[in-house]
Amino acid sequence: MTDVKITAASFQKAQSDQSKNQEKISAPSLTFFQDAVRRLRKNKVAVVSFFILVLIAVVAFCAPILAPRDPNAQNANYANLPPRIANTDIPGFRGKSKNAAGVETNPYITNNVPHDQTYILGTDYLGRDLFSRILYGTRLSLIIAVVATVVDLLIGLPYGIISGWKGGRVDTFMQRIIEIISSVPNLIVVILLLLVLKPGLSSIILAIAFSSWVTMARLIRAQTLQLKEQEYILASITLGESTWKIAWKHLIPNLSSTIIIQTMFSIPTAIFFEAFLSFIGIGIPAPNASLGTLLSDGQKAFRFLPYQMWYPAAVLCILMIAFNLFADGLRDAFDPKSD
Amino acid sequence: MSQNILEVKNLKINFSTFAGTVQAIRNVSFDLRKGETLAIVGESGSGKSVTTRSIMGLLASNAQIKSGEIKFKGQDLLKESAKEMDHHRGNDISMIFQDPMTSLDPTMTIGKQVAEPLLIHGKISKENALKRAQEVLELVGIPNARARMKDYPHQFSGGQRQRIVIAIAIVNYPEILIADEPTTALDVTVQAQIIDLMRELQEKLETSIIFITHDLGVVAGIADRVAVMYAGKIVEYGTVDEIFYEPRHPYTWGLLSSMPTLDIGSHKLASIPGTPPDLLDPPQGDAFAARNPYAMNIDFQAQPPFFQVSETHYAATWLLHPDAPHVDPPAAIQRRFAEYQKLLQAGQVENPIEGSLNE
Amino acid sequence: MTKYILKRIFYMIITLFIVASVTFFMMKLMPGTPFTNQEKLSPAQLKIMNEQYGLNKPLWQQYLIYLGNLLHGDFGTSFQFNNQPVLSLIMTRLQPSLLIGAQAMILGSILGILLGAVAAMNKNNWIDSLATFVSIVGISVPSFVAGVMLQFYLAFKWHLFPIALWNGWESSILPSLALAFSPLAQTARFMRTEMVDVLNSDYIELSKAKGNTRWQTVVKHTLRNSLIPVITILGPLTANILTGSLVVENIFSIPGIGEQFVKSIMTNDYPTIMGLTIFYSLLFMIMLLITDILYSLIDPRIRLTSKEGN
Repeated sequence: MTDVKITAASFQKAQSDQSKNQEKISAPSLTFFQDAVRRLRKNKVAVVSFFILVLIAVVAFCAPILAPRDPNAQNANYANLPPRIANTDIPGFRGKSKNAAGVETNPYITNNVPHDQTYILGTDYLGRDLFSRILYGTRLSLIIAVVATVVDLLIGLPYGIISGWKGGRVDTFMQRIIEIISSVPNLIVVILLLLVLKPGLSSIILAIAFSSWVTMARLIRAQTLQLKEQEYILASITLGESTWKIAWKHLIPNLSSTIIIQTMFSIPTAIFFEAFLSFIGIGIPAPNASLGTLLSDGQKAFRFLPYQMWYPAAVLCILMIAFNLFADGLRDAFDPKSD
Repeated sequence: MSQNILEVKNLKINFSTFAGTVQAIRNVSFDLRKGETLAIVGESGSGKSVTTRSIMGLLASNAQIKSGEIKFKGQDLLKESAKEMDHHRGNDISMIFQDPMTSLDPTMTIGKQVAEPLLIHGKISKENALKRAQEVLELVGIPNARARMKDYPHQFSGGQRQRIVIAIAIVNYPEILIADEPTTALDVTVQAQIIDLMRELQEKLETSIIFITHDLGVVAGIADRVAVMYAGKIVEYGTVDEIFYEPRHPYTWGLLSSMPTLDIGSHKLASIPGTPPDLLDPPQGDAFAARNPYAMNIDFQAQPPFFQVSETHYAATWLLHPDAPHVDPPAAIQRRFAEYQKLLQAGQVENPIEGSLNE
Repeated sequence: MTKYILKRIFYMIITLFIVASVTFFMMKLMPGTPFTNQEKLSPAQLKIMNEQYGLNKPLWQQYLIYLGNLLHGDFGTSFQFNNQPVLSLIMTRLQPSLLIGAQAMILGSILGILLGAVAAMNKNNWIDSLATFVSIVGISVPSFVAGVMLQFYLAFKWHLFPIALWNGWESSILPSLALAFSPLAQTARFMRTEMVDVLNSDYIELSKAKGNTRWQTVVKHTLRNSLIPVITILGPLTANILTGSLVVENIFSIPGIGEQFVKSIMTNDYPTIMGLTIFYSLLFMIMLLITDILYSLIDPRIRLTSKEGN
């Protein structure tokens, strides 16, 4: 059966140290967060999405440094120039476009643009540099989305905790309010709010936050209801800890994964809302650029100057896809059972 | 004459996982005779469920059968096509799962679910199948079965649901019934009812049963023979009396000592220290050596072969080697030995050597 | 069950009342008057206009009149668009919107279910990854971007479909496709999660143990159990399609209610905005109610009682 030589020594009692270290735990113990981060790092798609997001954010926030021109400076002579990189011959960046009759033209020549001028992504109908506008536009869209999500969190988190923790009549009343708000489709609520508020950045942020806190509040409430029944919370109540302390010490840490995941899903929704509102013409007022206004402007000339919509659309889609993929990764990492 | 209905020989099963290859079943052989109940006992992860799932052909997709054969009436199931296996499942061999709360389709009436195996294997018309389903439900003790055929699983209690699961398993009069921890998820009082039901059914239907459990207490009530599994291997097997009163493997000693009994008095309940070995990289020697207080040098060097204790009783431990020193088993086991002698003398148990089953 | 539905309808009426009131007062807070967009009117003309529409009465009177009219199904008269009653304005524009919305819903949910089911059955291999990627793209790409792309390639460049305007069923294809993207993606994700859960459940194991083949198991046990929860996303999908239609109808110049809504926003046409808001909420709530009723009819575990409505 085996090649081991059986000798008298074979049947001697083994040294006890061999059986001593059996209770040793070989893997280092990880906190919940360390464990989640470790799982997240193993998810290649999420990691790549994360780096794309960081890259886009850094580039967008460096817009004042990186943008070659003032994004709002108009130049009627240089309107609707297609993308061109000066002194190169890269397909797609030769400064040529087709007119309505399908004939290839070079607006750079017809408009007498000096041949060392680069409009890497072309110009729009007012002669504004599209590349600079996209940089600033992405920045604005990101700011709106992130601030709106923070506001959404600031309303939704306390609302959900109070509703879930208090229970009873308070809860019923608070849930009724949520039901009424959510019986009108979200975007309609945003549109109505925007009509009432003065057009501008803060109105958009408020309107978006107001329509999306409901989802956050619902999730937080459901989670709080569960946590309330946990033994360690009951123990804290028995020990006479104040509600504030319990909320701060026990509830929020245990809600954190829900908060993080939901926040990550809220940001792309907010980006979408902003783009949507600007697209139908009630978002960011002119002349400021956001991804939505760029798309809206681009769509008007899309048939003959598709690049004006293509580039902002590509940035928007990449941003949304990266956010959604990263949020998915986060959810899988924080909620391993959903795998 | 005892007739083997199922013979498992040298079965080796690996699982490929992200962490590496897990050697879940490491050379397992046993046989099942017609009409007997074989209990396979072991802690979770010992491979008892994997063994039975391989008989059913229901292994997970990352499992590979490295070697061995599973002969059902002389035919190797491992060589059969998917279609032939479908024909066996629920027909010749059927299975009862652990958790009755989740093993029934929540959106199908129980009448249809019980009749399903009959219809799959194309034996009778739908009407007759439902009629037969009702008979079987009555047989397993569902009161008012005719009316309750149209009910859904959530309308039944846990114990009743397990009866329904049993009804599904026996509706085609299978030759082998595999019960994978059928009582673990149930209340203690219900457990006893289910065990009684299974024993009763076995008498009526003459089915062979493989009963998987980690609970030795349950085994005593139902099994004819017992196989103890540890870390993907069978370490000891014998008749139920032999395993309970004359165990030879230190792991079986550990299991029995950790089982509460009525006469345990003021003795502290023992436990087996440590955890089972990592089957990604099984030890070279006896897998139990690291947890074995009786471990000898050879236990760490070589895997023990089976040593025969009686005609029906085998154990894989070096302690049974003729050269091994004599060791005293734990006190609880010694009391069992003594009690056994008493019972033997009083004629209350059959001598296993004479009383080999179904001969 | 009947009691539950009656209770739900009662809550619906209250909610509609609140929505109507809130929109009414919001509209009154709005900057600009409905007539600013029209050619310059003299103060005398303005006065006549204001009187004609009852805008000179105190706010509470206007509110009561508005509510009273609502009860008679009178949503008021549009300030723009030839002074049509809002209700008939909505009615004349309902057909294209319903057609596109229903097509998008049916197409999106059926394809989504198929995609999700295929993904779940091939869990963790490349088919699953591909399906997951398709649904992430579907969720991420806004319907107006998808709409413009479809219009550009399928209609403008390749001449497969009419570019815009409403010329019968043919012109409904592209907008329906554009609208179907997001429901498709949402359904696929939901279906995949549900089906993965079901496939891992014990009763699927038992189904195999009974001798069902892989496909018998899918047809008899997996599909139904994973499809039932998918009903619950009908509500969110409706909202999705409703709002998507606002932009998609604009892109394709479809004379539907979505396009009307955007037009009304641009022209401060309060009665139409209010009318459409109430209409959208009503539609949305009806869909939610239908969803709940369907769910309870199909899933034997769910029995609607008026207590669960809380």
